[in-house]
Amino acid sequence: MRMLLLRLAGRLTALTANGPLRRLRPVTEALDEALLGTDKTNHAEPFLSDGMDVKRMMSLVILGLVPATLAGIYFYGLRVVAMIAVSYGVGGLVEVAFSVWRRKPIHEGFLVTGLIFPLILPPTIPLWVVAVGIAFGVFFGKEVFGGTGRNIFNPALVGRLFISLAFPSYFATMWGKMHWGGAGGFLHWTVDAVTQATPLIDFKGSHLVSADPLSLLIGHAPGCVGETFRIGIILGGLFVVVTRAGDWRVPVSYLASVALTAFALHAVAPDRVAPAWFQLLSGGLMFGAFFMANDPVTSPFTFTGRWIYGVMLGVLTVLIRALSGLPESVMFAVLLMNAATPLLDSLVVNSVYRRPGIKVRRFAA
Amino acid sequence: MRLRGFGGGFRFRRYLGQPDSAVERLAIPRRAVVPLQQGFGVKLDLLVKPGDRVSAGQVIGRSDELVSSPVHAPVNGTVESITETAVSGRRVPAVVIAGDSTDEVQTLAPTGPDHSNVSPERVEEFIYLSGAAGLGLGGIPTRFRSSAIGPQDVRHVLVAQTGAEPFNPAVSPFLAGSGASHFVAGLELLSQVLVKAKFHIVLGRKDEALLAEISRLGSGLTRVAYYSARSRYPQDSPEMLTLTVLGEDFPFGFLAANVGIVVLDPQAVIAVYDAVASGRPVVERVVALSGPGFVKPIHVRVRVGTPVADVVAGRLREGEIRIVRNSLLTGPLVLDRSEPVLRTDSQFVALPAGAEREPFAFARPGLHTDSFSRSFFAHWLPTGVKPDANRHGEERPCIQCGWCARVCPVRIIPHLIYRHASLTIDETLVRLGAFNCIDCGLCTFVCPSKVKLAARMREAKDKLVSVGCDNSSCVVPKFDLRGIEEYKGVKSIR
Repeated sequence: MRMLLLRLAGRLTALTANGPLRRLRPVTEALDEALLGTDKTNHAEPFLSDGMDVKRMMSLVILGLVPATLAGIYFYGLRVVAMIAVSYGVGGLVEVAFSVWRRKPIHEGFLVTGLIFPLILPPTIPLWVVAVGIAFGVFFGKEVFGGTGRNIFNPALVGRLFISLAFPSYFATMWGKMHWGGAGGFLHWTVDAVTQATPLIDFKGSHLVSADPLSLLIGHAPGCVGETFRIGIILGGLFVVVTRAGDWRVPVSYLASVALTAFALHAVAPDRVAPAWFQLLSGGLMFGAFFMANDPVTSPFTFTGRWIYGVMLGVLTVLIRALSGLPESVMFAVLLMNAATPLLDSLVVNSVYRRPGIKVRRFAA
Repeated sequence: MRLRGFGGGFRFRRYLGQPDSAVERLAIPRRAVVPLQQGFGVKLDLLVKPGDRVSAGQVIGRSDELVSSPVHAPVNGTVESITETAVSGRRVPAVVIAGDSTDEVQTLAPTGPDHSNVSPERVEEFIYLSGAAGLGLGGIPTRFRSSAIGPQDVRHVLVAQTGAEPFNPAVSPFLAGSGASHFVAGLELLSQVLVKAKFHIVLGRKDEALLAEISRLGSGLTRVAYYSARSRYPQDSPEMLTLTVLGEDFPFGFLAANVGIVVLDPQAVIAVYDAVASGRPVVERVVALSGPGFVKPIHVRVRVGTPVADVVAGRLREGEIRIVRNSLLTGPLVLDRSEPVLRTDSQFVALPAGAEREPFAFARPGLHTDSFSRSFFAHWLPTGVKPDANRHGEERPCIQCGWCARVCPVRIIPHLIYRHASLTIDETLVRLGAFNCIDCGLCTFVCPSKVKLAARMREAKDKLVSVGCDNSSCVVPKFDLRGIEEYKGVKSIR
């Protein structure tokens, strides 16, 4: 097995060593590294390296997304698989094209973006719109800033924002009738295109809560592909946080802030502001808190900054949901706070490191 | 007393290949190499010439004018040559002695077990002449300039070995049995010399029984406190000890000695006892041979100056093995196995290079992989960690995951300093705390993007220092620094 892989990787690398295909070297390098791991060793202190690398970190996030993805297929049919394939295919092409152009290695961050993007789209959206969205998101959300680690906005959300503004009709009513019972969507291609509204749209129209907590938790209420099965999202999110692939501060502060803000404002204006439990369990909040707001590149790196970021996200989410014409607001809240991230970090860094000589903390025994 | 912890840090758990507490005595080497500069001191004046007959324990290098402590011939024999040797990349002059394998050690006039009527001046002389003063990070101060400060300047003596490294020498080989009473006697002798010092003994939680035994034996000593600490790296560094034991700020960028703190390991205290009670100079060391690269990790009692090759001969596993002095995190690497054992060495870690490629490495279950993340089975199951020097991933751009800041014991943000330094090197780095870095190496260890943060910070610091900019502008006014005759510092770059 190992020998076979070694030979295969050797062949691949040889193919692009020189000659007309040499510009494709990032592709073969990426394959080689993924198949076989590294043979680089530490020659200087520290001689130990953590077993974790970015590939594994992204794999852990993808593992955390598995329940939500499977539930999306179950509820909305095998077409979701096609959406994911289109997203990976087109987005991957953009990523590879940039790597080849810049002659830099291919970075793994794309693997998460490519899966998250279809999960935050309505289930009946045409595949070509998926392609346009991911291409826009990867290009303008990430590559123009300089690629992985340098983007200001979450690329998946940039793509979604673009298509939600360019093709608003797909986001208004076409949520479809979910499969329920038996093998569900695993035996169907798509869902019946029945006009149906999400619980949040219902609340915006009628000021009535149209779903019960249980159906929201197990996902039996219309919504984007991956955002409905909230038990799975919470479990997947906890997996990511417990394995430390994601930080716990952002989801905790975000969800707590939504709960508190909604609780306070619902008491004041029950017509405009939905109750806290409903706010927590509806729309893209769970998904957003665990998998979008928590993206390390676009959220603050200072821990104080992360708390402030989470709290402000929560306040913004509740306020936009209540006061704007939009039923859902997680996307806007996260993008707005992405823009505020460098400011938050600067404020925290400048106040903590105002002058040299930092106090070091001590803990109780 | 249980010691308070510190923020950050990392607990290296269940590393397989910890040394067995048995101590094996190694044969006297046929050839010993003695660098004329060991540990912190300056280069010593040579007292012998090639062809001279020397006996083990004879002083062969000494410089009373500058901060140093004498070195001794570790074996009986003849001086073969005076050469240069490389000690982990640093070239130092050295005396090569061809030994005759005899066992006797020339001692100073010993006082015997009863040392109660020895005057402090005599004790000081013993400590200096035996070379025991050269142990520890900044040396043991005596009136003979064996440290940057004088004995009356010492406020605190920290004797620590908490087992915070991935691999640790056991303390039981020196402290169990008669070792405990020797240790207490050593403390008593030190307290005669360092008259104003308080003594703090810090051992790991698993050595609490030994600590209790020592505190029982040392109940007559008034200026001694005993602590047990969690094994959390880098607890044994002077910076973290100062913080957790004394609750004081540390003058980052300076030695602990500069604020009157002496940091020793338990073996140094026993060397003080040996020097006074039996007049025995430091010609021998107990070093641990630990790590998965050794067939059977163990402690050995070895003459100083024995080439590393002789120490590890026949003990290493097959394959490419790296040997690291003292600490896997701070090194240094033994580049050439003809390098000698120094009197400040406490262990040699043998680490497999791990250059083999592993199929689908990123998806491995990791039954024996250590990580800051909790995504490997070794975190959840007691399977143990088998470390190697593999980097476990490709270098990628920083994604600001913040792990480096989470483990940093001095609360700086390594990736911020690294990114700032890759754009421009200016005083902002000082403000961000680049000089507070204690080079513990944890940031580089945990980085999932495999960025060499510690090395990059070191480079940035070196560049800043070369233009006359360092932390001293905020350390010097705040601390009462001793042992710094001349201070040259520039407060900003032009």
